[in-house]
Amino acid sequence: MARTPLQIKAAFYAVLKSDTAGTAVRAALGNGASSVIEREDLKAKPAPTAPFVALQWGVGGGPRTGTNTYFPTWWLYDDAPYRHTRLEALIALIEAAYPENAISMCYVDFLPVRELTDAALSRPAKGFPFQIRTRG
Amino acid sequence: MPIVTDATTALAYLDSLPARVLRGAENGLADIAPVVADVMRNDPVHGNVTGAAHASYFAAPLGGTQDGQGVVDAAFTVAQTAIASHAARGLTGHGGQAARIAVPTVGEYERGLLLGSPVDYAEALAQEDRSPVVPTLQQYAGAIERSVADGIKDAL
Repeated sequence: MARTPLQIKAAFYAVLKSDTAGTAVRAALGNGASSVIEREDLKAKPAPTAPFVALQWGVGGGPRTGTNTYFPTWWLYDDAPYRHTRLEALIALIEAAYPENAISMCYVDFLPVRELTDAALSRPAKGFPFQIRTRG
Repeated sequence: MPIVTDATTALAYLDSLPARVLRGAENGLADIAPVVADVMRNDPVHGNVTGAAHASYFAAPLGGTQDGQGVVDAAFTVAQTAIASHAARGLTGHGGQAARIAVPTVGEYERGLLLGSPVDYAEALAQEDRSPVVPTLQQYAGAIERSVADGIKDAL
């Protein structure tokens, strides 16, 4: 049962990193679970085999109503020659891995996907933000 | 025998509704503003020379008694410091400067957020399709609306 912010983050990350729900996503990545990382890792380590996904947890919002809300983003990256083609296919797989009740005691929803080129990495990228709402 | 109903309390509550709604909207915007600012600050669409633009992206509240100008002025200081730090290290290749932004005035019953970066090359980034401001607004518009609705619901 996910309760603390750290528990919720760990559960969200685990969906793609290790849970059964993320099997199809890992199968479509360059090197399975090794291509699922936290975005901070890109600063210190070489990028994994593409396509890969990187989690940016972000700041939470709104304790005011008694509902804690989190806004993590999965960043999807590929090698330049593939442009955004393989990433487009990954979006549907990630959506399927996160039904509304993907994390216990939470409601999971998506925000619109954004396509861009990561200037620092010089890679095609898609930003896929989520909204996770939980009580207290 | 007449039946008398005292509607004083109900009427007083109705009179208080506009202020409650506005306060709730302000609360909702205050809740989501840090999220939106953080998204822009971590957006990879443009790189960094001084880091000034990224570090100074802001989501400033508009309307009522909220201090949006304070938020923007604080962001200006962040940008100014980053650019000065770059120059102090003898680094070149960046001609941009921090730029003051005046927060617009909105109507009595309007509340909102102003998104941007107080650097004089922000518009150039936007024209080159390398600014995160509009894409972030497009992605998070629904979340902003929900946050405002939650704030109003809580205030009523």
